[in-house]
Amino acid sequence: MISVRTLSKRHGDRQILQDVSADVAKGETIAIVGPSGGGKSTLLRCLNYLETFDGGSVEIAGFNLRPGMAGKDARTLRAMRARVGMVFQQFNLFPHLSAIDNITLAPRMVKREAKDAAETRALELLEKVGLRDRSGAFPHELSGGQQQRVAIARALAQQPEVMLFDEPTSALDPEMRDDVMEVMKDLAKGGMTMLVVTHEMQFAHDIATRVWVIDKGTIAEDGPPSQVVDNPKTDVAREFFGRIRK
Amino acid sequence: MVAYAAVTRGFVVAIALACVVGACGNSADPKGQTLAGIKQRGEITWGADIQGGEPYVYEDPQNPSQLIGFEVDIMNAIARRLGVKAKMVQYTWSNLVPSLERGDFDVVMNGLESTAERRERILLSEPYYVYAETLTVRAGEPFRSLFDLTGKRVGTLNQTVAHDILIAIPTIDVKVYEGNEEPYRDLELGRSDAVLLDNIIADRYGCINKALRCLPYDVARGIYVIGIRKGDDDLKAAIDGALADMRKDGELEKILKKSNLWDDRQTEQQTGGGITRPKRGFDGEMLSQFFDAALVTLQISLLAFLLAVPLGMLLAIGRVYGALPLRAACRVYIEVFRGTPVLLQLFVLYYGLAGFINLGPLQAAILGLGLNYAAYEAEVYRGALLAIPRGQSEAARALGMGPWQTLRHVMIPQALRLALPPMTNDFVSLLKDSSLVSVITVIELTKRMTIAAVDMRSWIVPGIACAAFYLILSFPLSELARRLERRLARDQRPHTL
Repeated sequence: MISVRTLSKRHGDRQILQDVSADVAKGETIAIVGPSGGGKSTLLRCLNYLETFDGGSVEIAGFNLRPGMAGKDARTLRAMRARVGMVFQQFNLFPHLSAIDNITLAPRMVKREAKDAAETRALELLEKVGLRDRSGAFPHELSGGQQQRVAIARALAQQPEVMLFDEPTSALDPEMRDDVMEVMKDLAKGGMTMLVVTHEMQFAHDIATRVWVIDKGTIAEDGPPSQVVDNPKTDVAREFFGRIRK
Repeated sequence: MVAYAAVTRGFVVAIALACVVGACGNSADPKGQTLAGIKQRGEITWGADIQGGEPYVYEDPQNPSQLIGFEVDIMNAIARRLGVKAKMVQYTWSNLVPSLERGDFDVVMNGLESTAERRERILLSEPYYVYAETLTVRAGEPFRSLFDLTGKRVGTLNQTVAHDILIAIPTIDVKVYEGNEEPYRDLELGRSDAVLLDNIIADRYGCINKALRCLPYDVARGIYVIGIRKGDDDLKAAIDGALADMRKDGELEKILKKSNLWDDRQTEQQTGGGITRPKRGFDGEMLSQFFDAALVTLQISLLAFLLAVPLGMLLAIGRVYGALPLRAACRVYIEVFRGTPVLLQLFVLYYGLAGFINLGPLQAAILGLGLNYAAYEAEVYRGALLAIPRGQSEAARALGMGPWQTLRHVMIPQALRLALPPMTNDFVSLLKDSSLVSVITVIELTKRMTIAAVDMRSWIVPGIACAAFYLILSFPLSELARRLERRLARDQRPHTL
């Protein structure tokens, strides 16, 4: 489903990603963890080309991404993004649209879906995230946890093959996290391919099929949670999980 | 401490302002003492407007710091005969009489016609020039008198006897101008069918144009006089005496000949001062005129704004997201239209471009104000676009939406919400700026007020009516904007401080 080869990105003279290579199979759930500033979010954002990169390549949902596509391959990028959903730390719902309009906007614009069909499916998705009764609510009328669940439904409405989550619960109160986590757990169980940048150790441990520890722009450790979380090999992973547990 | 400093600074500014105002304040002589003051100062000050141009009072083309003209010559001669020097003071022509009454200068001399209204307000000297109202039409047109011009458009200058004559004939559509050249330009362009103005102006701006024809007989005759404050009867006697002497010893003839103004009219017996316009009250008819003018103001403002909003949005988008050449072009547009007076833009649009596109005054007004305000709107929208969190466009991109879709459905709606308060501001401002279009002969609210003030011999009632109409227009619009804001920007509540 995803294949990253020697991905590199610089910012000035700072190397943000350095020759990152990894593969993700269909249906896998990857938890991306590591100290802040290590390049977790950048790596995730390179996967749907929200960030450009300087070297290497990404193959995702059947699309091939290379450096320098930003201007001239806009069409390809848009087609790719319609197959790759993304959820942000700050939700980024459109504040001028109701929950249901937030969800139907992209299907109607990008895929030219009919209003009725798009709305029917939007209601199903809202049902799935437990917010069917709030379909007419505007983002400012929803709690953070509810907004994030609408944002997940919005991403799912494009029927993506891959879902990217960039710290989806970091901006939420603990009691709201559980609702969002529950939705993500269901998604993972349903076979969605997911990459999740997270600080939630429980998620990494219980739900993820694989854990990547990212530090200094490289994947320092890559393996199932039982191995990476419970018996980390590298110093950085040991130190990181040690700090989190405390 | 900060507050104290601010208060102190404010106080200092206030005192400084008071000093400036005090220094510039008029140093009028006590009522009825002007002649004594003139003798004491050794100088007579006279108000005029050099915009009237050649041959009245104007800057010497050879030496622009020097004023010349037949009125300069006559006033110098009068001053010499009074044993003093003469000094011209520049004022807007239509404000000369009120400024005289305020005491800003000693007398008015600038093509001031003897009318019943002026005789009521101030003292008028004996005439120093006899003029004729001359009708000018396009060459080859059959018009032979004012009475052939039923239903036609006739141009003239505001607050002139010619204007009084024209509005006394209700079937004529009167177009009012502020400058000498523009009425003839519009006549040549077919924007009007005739021009009625003093022969001095007609000779210089109309009759010399081969495309135009001046009718050979006078529509009316009138006299130019010097305006003197009420109570200054001794000054009037002194000036009349000097003028009589100049007539007798031939100096007046010499001066008028020098400016090519001497003709038979100067020596013929005069029948006296033209037409008298009765003083009007604020009646139903005037109210309905105000109402019409308010509709014109509203129409111009609304249509101009409807042009400014989308154009401003396109400019803002071009400036924020465009490639370099587009970005630069948008910037140039904004700087040019924002950095030059809208008055100048209206002139260029209506008169300057008349050879290429012949716009009607309303069209030119709407286009001019719309193009101008687009520059301001563009900056408002640019600020609003930049104020939208980056996450919004990222979310749209991550969903596969294209740049235009993102702009149309995500950025523009949010930018408009943010821009609503400044847009309301701009619209109210535009409503008032629309008064500028009177320079291109549109009669809107403010122009109607000045006309009514002349008809009623008072500013108070027309002024209040004008202000009331502006408020009636602007208040519902700000109220509408407030509701719109409340509906659209539900989530934009003020932060707790």
